[in-house]
Amino acid sequence: MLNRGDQIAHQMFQQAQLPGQPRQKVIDSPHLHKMQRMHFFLFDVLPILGTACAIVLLFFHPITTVDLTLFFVFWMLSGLGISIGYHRLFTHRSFKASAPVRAALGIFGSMAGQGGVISWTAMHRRHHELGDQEGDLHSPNLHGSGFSGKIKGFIHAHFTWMVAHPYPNVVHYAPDLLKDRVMIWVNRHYYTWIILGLLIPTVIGGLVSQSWMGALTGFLWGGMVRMFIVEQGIFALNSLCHLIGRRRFVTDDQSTNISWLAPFIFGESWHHNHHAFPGSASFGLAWYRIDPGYWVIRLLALFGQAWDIKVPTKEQIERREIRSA
Amino acid sequence: MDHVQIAEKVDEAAVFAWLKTYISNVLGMDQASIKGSDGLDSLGLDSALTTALAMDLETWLGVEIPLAILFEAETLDNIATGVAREAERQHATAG
Repeated sequence: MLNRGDQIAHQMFQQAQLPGQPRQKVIDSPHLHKMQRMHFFLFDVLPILGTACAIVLLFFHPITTVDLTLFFVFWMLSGLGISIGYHRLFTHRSFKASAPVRAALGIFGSMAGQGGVISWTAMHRRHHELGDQEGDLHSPNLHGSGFSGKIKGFIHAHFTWMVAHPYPNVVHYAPDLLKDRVMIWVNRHYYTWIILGLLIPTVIGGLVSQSWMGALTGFLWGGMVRMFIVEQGIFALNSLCHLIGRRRFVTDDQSTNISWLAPFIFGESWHHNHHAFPGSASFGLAWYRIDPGYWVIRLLALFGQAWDIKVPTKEQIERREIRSA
Repeated sequence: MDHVQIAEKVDEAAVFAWLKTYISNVLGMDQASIKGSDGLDSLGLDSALTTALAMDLETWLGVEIPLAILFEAETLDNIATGVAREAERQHATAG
């Protein structure tokens, strides 16, 4: 069945009597690249500088329980917003959720500063469409062979691809989100959510400690450092989880599982499992693999806030496994 | 679904009709409520949707449209004028 965007395009082609010329799915434009460079500096470079400041400050001012709590809470909220919301719900539709949960996950995910939910979804769907082939926005495997090619690929996939990149056609890649009024609203206020994600820990830090220093360290730990940590985790999926680690299924891409990373990025580093079963809400695919994102989805289900949670059966998993001849 | 009006020659009116149809379909709006004095922003198209519109517009016209025309224009009328002029210019240089 054609999606809504395709229906429009299809109808327009027919009426214009154009030969079935393919729809344009990505665009490179100086105007967009300028916006991307600005976004990269504000939300990818500044958190690195902020984290460096936080570390230097430790020599003069010991970290407080309030700072650590703010870091932990905002790391969890924005990280789960990306993993459960942006990734497992909005991009892959691996479960269904109530409107308040959709809004909350979209808002928390926005606070991570990785782009608006509609852009993120469209780009990630393209990544799955073209996994590690020409056109994949952030593959580490398209930069030549040998060690230097891998290093170049790592730097591109982990960080520099975001400086300027082709931008996807959201009507093509995310027509379902465009029909969801709640998500349109969340997406429209992307920058507000980022600012709130920085302002709230700053205000709490200041109020609890009754000091300007507390506001500063609240901003650094609850804002900059947690943004840096969530980003490095997600960037590692694009870089490390397509370079090193283990494979157990037959997939078209070069994705891998890295078990030791899983507790630090909400179970996302079972990335190869995810490429084999993109529609699965569980990335661990077994109860004994650490997958906090999936555990929280089950917790939401317990309270009736998530349902239709998709997970492949044991047989479905087994028949995809690599068999040595 | 509403029908798309496509003129023999791609002039301002044809571009405007295309914009109206596209926007009403994408945003689920009543086509008649979209006026030439509306801006993309006030209708509810952010930069992501405006970029998508540009890509589909380029496919329809078969010419490249600088995004600045869409991002800098105040109204749909301005966009239609700018796009039609650009299409004509490119067809002239190509022909």
